[in-house]
Amino acid sequence: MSEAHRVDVKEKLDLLKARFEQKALADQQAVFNALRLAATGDGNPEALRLAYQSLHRLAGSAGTFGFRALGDEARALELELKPYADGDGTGPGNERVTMAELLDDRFMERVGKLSDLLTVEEVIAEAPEHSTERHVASSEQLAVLIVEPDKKSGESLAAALSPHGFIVQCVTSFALPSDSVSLNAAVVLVRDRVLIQQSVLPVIGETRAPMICIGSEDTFENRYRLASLGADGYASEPIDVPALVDCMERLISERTESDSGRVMIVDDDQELLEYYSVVLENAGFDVRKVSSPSKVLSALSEFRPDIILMDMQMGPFSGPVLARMLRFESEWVGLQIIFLSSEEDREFQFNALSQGGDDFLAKPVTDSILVQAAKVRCYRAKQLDKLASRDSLTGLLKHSLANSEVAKEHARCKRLGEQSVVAMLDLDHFKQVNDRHGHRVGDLVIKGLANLLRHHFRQTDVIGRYGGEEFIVVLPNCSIEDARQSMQEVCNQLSTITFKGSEAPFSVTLSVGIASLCGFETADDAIEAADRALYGRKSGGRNGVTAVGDLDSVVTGVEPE
Amino acid sequence: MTRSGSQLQRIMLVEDEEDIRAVAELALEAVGGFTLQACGSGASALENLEAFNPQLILLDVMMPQMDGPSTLRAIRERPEFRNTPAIFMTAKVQPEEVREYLAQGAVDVIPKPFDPMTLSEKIRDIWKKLD
Repeated sequence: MSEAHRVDVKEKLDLLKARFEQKALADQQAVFNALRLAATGDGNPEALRLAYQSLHRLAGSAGTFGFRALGDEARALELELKPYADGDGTGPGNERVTMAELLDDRFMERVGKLSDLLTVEEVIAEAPEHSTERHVASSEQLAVLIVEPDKKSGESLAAALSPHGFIVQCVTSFALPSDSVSLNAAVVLVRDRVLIQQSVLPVIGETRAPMICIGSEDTFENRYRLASLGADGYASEPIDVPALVDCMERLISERTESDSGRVMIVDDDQELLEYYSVVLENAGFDVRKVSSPSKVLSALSEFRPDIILMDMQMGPFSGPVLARMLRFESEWVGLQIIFLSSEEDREFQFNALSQGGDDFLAKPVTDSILVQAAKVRCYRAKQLDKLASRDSLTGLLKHSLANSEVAKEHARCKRLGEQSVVAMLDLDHFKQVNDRHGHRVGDLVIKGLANLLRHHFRQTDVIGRYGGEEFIVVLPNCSIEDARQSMQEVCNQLSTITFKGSEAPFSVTLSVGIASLCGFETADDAIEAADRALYGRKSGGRNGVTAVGDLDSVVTGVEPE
Repeated sequence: MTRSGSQLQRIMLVEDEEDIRAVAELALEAVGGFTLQACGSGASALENLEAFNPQLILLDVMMPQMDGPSTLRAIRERPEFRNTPAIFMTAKVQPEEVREYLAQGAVDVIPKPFDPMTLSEKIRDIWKKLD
C-alpha cells in the first residue's frame, strides 16, 4: 500500500468509526429500554430478543472499530442473556434464575455503562504490506533501529548495513517521542554506554526486539553488565559488518522460530479437538486436526507437523500404541509426540513413553500451558530438523532437500498453471578469495550472500546451498523478467558489500542463471537449464543475470515466455 | 507471497449490518485489493450470486429473516455453488459453535470483531490452506 493510499484508508475508517459511535449510543439505549421492559411483567420475549440482538451486534462490531472493551463487555452481557433469549424465556435448566433476578440493578448498571466504554479506544493496527504482486522490492525487509549518540557514526553504520537488505533508522537516544521510532524494529543496535546508563532494558515495540551493543571498551565488566541487563550480543569496534549481520540474522531467526510451529492434534473428542486448535491457532500456530486415528499417517505426510499432540485413548485405539506404529516409518522416528493424559500414575506414563511417546501434558491443560508447551517443543523440533536438513554454515537448505523442494514447487506450478523461476547462483572467482584471505574469510562471504538471499527472498522457502559457492533459489509466482530484475538487485547489492580481507578490504560479484520452472518437463530439467544459463553468464563476463532464453547457441526445446 | 491466494479476486459478503459492510468493503477492497459484493441479506445474496459469481463467500451468522447457515444451505442448492468455499463470521466463538459451523459446510470461521487492517491477510491465509 502506498502512503497516500494508507492515509486514505485511515480517513475512511475514521469516518465509519464516527458513524458507529453514534449508532452504538442508540443501540445501548435500545438495549437498556428493552431490558427494562423484559424485567417488568412476566418476561417479554420479544423485547428480550431485541436486546440480545443489539448486544450481539455490539459484541461483533465494536472491536472492529477499535472499541474492544465495549465489544468484550457487550459479549459478556450477551452470554448471560443467551439462555433466556434462546429458549422459551425461562432460562437455563437447573439453577433457575428468573429473568427479574438476572436483570438486577447490577446488570442494568453494566448495560447503562456500556456507552462509557466508547471512550476506551485502541489504535487500529497499521495494515501489513501485502505482497501479492511484487517480488522485486521485498516487502518484508527487516527494520533495524540504531541508538547512537554520535549521529555521524550512526549514519555510517546504517550505510554499511543497508546493502545487506535492512531498513535502518537512526536515533541519538532512547528518550525520543515514541512515534518517531519505528515500532517494529526487528533488531536494536545500541552504543554500549547508552545501555549501561539504563537501569532496565528499554522495550522497543510490543515485543522486545533483540538488542546488540556496540562499543569500543570491550571489557569483561562491560560485557557482564550488558548481559545482566539482558542484551543479546556485543560487537566491538571497529565493526566487522558481515559478522554483525550474521549475529543479527541468528537472533532474528531464533525469535521468529520460537513464535510459531506446526502442530497436529489427534483426539477423537471433537470438542476438545476444536478447543485446542482454536487456542493454538490464536497463538499463531499452524494446526491440523485429526479426529480419526486411522487418518494419522496420511495426514502426517501431507501436513508434516513439528510436533503431535495426542490423546492417550481414542475409542478402541491407544495413543502409545499409535505412537509406536508411527515409528514404523523411518520418516517419523524423530517426530515429537506429546500425550495429553489425565493419568497421574508415573509408572503408567513411563510405560507410555517407552512405547514411543516423548512427553506428557496432564489434563486439564490450561490455555497458556498448552501454548507454552507447544512453543518450546516446536522450537526444539525445528532446531533438530534444521541440524539435519540445513547447511550448518548458512542455515540454508542442503542440496538434496533443496532439490526435493524445487520438485514440489514444480508440481505446484504445473497444477495451478503458475509461473515460477528457478535460479542458480555462483560466486565469481571464489577460489581466489579462499586462497588469498583464508577459509574463515571465505566462509564469511558465503554467509554474507546467504543472508542477503534470505532477506531478498523472504517470501520463498526454497533457498538452498547447492555446493561450495553455489546456491539455488526458487521464486514462486514470478515471471522471468521480474526474476531477472530481482536477481540483478542481489548482484548489485552484493557488489557493494565490503568484506574485511587479510590484507585489504575486498568485494565479490555473483553470476546467476535463471529458467522458468514450469517450462520444463521435470524440475531437474529446469535446474539443468538454469545451470546452463549460469555457465553462459560465467563465460560471458560474469557479474549479472542470464536467462536460459538468452542463450542462442543452445536449442532448449521448450522455451518458456 | 500468496500462492493460490493470488487468484482469489471475487468475494461476496452477506451481512445485515451496514457499518460492518462498509468497513469490510474498505478492508477487502481498499486494503486487500479484492472485488467485493456486499449483500445486506441472504435473499439479496441469492439474487446476486449468479451475476457476481463469487470465488469465496463470507457470511454473518446472525441475521434477521434468513440467517447465515440457512443462506449457505440455499446457496448450496445451486449446483454451480455447491463447492464454493464459505466462511462464517461471528462474535467470539466457542469451540462447539465452531464445530457446528464447520459441519454446516463452512471452511473456516472468522471471529468478530475482525481487524479491518488484517482481514484480507486472514482470508488469503485461509484460501491458501484450501489447496
